[in-house]
Amino acid sequence: MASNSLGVLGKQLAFRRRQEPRAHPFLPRALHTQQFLRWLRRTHAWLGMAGAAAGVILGISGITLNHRANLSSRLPTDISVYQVEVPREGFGEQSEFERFVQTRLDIRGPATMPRGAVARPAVVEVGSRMLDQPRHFEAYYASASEAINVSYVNGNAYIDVEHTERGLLSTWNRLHLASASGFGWILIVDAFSGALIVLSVTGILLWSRLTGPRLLAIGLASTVLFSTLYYANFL
Amino acid sequence: MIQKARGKLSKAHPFLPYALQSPMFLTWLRRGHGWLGAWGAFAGILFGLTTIMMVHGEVFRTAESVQNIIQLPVGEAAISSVDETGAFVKTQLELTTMWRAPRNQAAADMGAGIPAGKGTRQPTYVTQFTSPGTTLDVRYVRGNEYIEITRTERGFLEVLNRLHRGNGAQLGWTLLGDAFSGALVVLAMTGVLLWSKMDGSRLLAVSLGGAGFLVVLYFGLAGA
Repeated sequence: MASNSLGVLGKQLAFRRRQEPRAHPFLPRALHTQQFLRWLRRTHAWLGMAGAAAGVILGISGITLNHRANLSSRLPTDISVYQVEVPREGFGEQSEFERFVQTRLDIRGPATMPRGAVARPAVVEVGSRMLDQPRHFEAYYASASEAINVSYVNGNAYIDVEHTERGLLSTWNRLHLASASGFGWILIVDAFSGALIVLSVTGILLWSRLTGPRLLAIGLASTVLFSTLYYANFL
Repeated sequence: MIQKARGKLSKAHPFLPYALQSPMFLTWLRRGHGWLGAWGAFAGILFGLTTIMMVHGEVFRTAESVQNIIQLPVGEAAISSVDETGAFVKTQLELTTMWRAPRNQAAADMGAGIPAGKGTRQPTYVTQFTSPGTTLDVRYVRGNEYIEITRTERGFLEVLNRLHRGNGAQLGWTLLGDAFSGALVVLAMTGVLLWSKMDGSRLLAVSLGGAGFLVVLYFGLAGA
């Protein structure tokens, strides 16, 4: 009697299983094991935890950048121009100049070359005279929050310094753009983008009936897909 | 008695304040996270992939584009402003977007003199139609027979990059970008609140999340 009812129950369960809506409708049946689900959950959770802070900053700067046409000139940026005295004999080498500037202004890290620097000839024709041009030095130091532009003409008494300091939001914008950012930040941006992709995929696989109907989820998710296709060729 | 038991209860969601640990709020959190996530999942993949493509632009050379130049005859139409130029091109080429002033337009030096008796300065109208995929740069010198249109067409991957940057974006896409950015912030926060004991130890989670936070704080405040 007992074994009989168990058999019936087993059959019913086997039958039921096919009909029953799956708890995770976007997870292939083959992967629908306790172990894989736990692995998915943990991957999603750990990656999400590691990237949470970056997500907040990139999300906020995403909005300000999206409206950069109206905003970027209003985000606070301080530019100060000042001069630094130099020993009269000037410099012989670019590296000597950079070393001097870095110690005087407490700058860490190497200089980056400014793009589109004008070539300076050694001799210039002015009217009928040929003018020997003194050596000219320039260096550019940039981080997400600051930029320092220095220039000096050998023989002059002063180095010209242009110091740009950005406010928090424009610093975040520069970080978002990964412009003038060092190796460390590039690494973080890479890791975050990879995490974003993995979170998207694992998130879909983890979608559960508890959240809502499957059809609505498909519809909602495809709005972005179709918008992308639509706007990509919009003219 | 109940108070005491509650105090000893190990929290299933260690980052969710006690006051919010009701089944209703948890359901709401989970659903909010789930729906926002489902909506933004494709955008997450798009923005993640394009970030890698753009940061390592020297590896993923997507910027190559096809340019060609079209001479559009003006015919009988009298064009005497930028907007008339734009409107004319829009109707002639049956475009759906509006013309706008191109960004980074180098201002012509109108102050420079013209050598005596060597020429006149005709009004010149410059405008642009742009989308992530195609850009039309329009230039017309008043009185000419032809409007010169430089058409730039971009490959699929570069189109995705431009979508990420919002280049040539229409209102709808700008709103979508805003919504996704907002969703990212909300997902990050609700995700932390939803952290459960099942995911792993609280201490490890605190150190991982804290490490992420400190690194971002370091770069975000000091810049790098």
